Amino acid sequence: MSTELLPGRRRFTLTSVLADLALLAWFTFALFPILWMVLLALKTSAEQTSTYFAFSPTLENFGTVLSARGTELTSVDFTSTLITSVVSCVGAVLVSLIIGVPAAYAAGRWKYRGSNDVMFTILSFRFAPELMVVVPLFVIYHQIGLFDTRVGLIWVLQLVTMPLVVWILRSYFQDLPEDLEQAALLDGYTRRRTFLTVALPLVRPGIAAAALLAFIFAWNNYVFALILTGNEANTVTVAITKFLGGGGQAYYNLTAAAAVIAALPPLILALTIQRYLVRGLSFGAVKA
Amino acid sequence: MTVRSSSFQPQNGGRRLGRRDLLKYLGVAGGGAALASLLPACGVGGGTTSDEGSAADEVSGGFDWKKAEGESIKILQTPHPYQQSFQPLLKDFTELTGIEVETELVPEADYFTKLNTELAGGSGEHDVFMIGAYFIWTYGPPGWLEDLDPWLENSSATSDEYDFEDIYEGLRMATRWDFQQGSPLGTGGQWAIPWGFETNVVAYNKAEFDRRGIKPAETFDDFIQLAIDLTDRSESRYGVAFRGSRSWATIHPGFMTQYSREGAVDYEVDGDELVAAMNSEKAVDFTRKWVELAREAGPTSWTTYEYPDATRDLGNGTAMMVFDADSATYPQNRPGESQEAGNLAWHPGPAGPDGSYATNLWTWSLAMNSASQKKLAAWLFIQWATGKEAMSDAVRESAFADPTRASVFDGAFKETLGDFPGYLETFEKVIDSTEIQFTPQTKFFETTENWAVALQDIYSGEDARSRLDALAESNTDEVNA
Repeated sequence: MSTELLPGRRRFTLTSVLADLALLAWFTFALFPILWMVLLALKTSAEQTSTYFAFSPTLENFGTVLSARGTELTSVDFTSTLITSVVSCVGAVLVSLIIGVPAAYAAGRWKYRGSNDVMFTILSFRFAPELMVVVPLFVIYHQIGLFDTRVGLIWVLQLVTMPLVVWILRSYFQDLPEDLEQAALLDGYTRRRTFLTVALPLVRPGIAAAALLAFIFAWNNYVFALILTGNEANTVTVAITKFLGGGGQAYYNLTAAAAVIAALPPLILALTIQRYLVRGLSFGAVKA
Repeated sequence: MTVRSSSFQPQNGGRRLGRRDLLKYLGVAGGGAALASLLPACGVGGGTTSDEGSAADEVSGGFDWKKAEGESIKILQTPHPYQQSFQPLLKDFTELTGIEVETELVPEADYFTKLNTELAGGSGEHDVFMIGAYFIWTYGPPGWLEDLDPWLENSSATSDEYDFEDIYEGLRMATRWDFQQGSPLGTGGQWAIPWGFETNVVAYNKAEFDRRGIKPAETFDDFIQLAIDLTDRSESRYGVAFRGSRSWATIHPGFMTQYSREGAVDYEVDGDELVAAMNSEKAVDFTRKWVELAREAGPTSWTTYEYPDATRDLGNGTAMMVFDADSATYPQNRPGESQEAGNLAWHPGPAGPDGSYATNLWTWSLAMNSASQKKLAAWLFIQWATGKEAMSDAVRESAFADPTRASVFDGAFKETLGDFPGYLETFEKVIDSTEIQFTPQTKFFETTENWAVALQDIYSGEDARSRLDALAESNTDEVNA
């Protein structure tokens, strides 16, 4: 019998089997928290801490989270917090793209004394502890009427989304050959037209990747929404934790159900633009 | 990275705004805006000072629940059985007073972060909020809390039927302090009104105890032995659950209760200075035993344990006993709430060598924001929520344990308690000795967390004597700084 490996066939060796098993183990390990969250969301209060995998599943928790009972437990309507999260995160990403894409282009194309400092300052918004700046922000928001508003959220989320957009897209613009734009300029294009019609279309995968990442980071933000909003503009991340209970009365199952619902929008978005995301994230990965 | 050619510089026909100019203008504008915005924050809250008098003085005439009719107030709370018991009753308050109430809930883990930020920002966003007694020691001195004494004393603002003295004495004392180093609790202003509270006692799996024919221990040494005997790691069962995380909250329940019963104190007062006494002979001896108890008969991940972990283990049958708040273990015995519901019972815990049942307490109280613009409405709410009628309704209709009023405990609470073996007897045994066992001081959270860290260090092998000597030295320095 021939041992030649035909196209589409795999050679099963001990190494490849072990590699597959290791991959499967890692896959299980990585996804286990999500699996556990889903299982918990399907358990009753009595079973939430006394069972592992064998229990009587129920969808009741999802109904409770979305019902008047959920509103009674948390003082906020979970559906409206979902809408607030969608509106504020989409709004924040759009604002960041409108301002951040030209900024990234400028940062990628022009060097001047202090340009690195400016970029570092923008980046520092990402790693500065949020609690460090939130007290003055709280005072300012109260004074100018932005406290507990969606507009206020969109504004403060710029601290989260803007650095991501600018830094990710700057590297994309740097990777574009300058010759293309110089050719357009020689043909009589204005700088703006060159940017809009030559550079921008070429970095679309990057924009998709940056926008998605910015959306996910904005969606997951907790501290700003916790401190700078009340019942009117609570986001879903804050609403989830309100199901936790307290004083010895814990609703882990309701919290898990709320978390499962809250994970769906970014998940759907990620799957929808997965093609761009993979291309976008790997673009420039081997840049020197 | 490629080097950008100078030919790629953007061209501008007009006068160019230099980068230095731009940065200078931006800096001036940004700095000015930030400074203008931040200056009011430096006022540390917008509360009334003693020189300004109390807003309660402006209330005159006969008492009337409708005095603030048409107003609306906001209250900040954390999800809790107390809050959940009162939520359905808020419409009764609105009907009685004509005041609308909007509740905002923040989970316990972040509650004080949010509250602290609001109060430090001088915001009157929330008129009333839940507060623990220890937090008064931190939030009171900057003037963030309204002194409720003038409100209590004003018969135009407070109903004749209110009967403040009906609230247990230990609780009234716990929420009153003059903020002077070395002064005991019970002096100074009334910064909050106790609303719900908990004593720290032992809850145990009575079904398992009955099956084995054993009873709860009456002395600490017997308690340790009992917990060890009940521990069987091979069956994932252990003797006693209690907190062990790196937090001040590890110290205040079971640890501080038994520490006090054994005759140890946290600080000794020397003039206007406090001297830490966590390294006294009694304290070191007790701490060694407590840590040994955690090792031999506590949860295997004790250093991460918070009260939800402890009560969960009791509820699912993993822990045979819990030494923590009675009201935290109470929900585990309600039908459908846990696997061991119906199997639990309560006991005061071990008495001290001299028979002491000194017990530390936690009280969720209601406080008024000193920056509130609706103080009368806020006071009417606090008065209603801590009054006999509303508290009795909360007890009858939901799980409000423990009520802070003796009349409500003896009335509605006893009538509705149901099958909670030992709960009443335990409460009655310890209530006269239940008070805050800590010495009040403004660095409570930092120094008590240091204490929890010391317990963890001893748990991980450090010598108890030397570690507690170091703790006492650093805490003495910190509280007197």
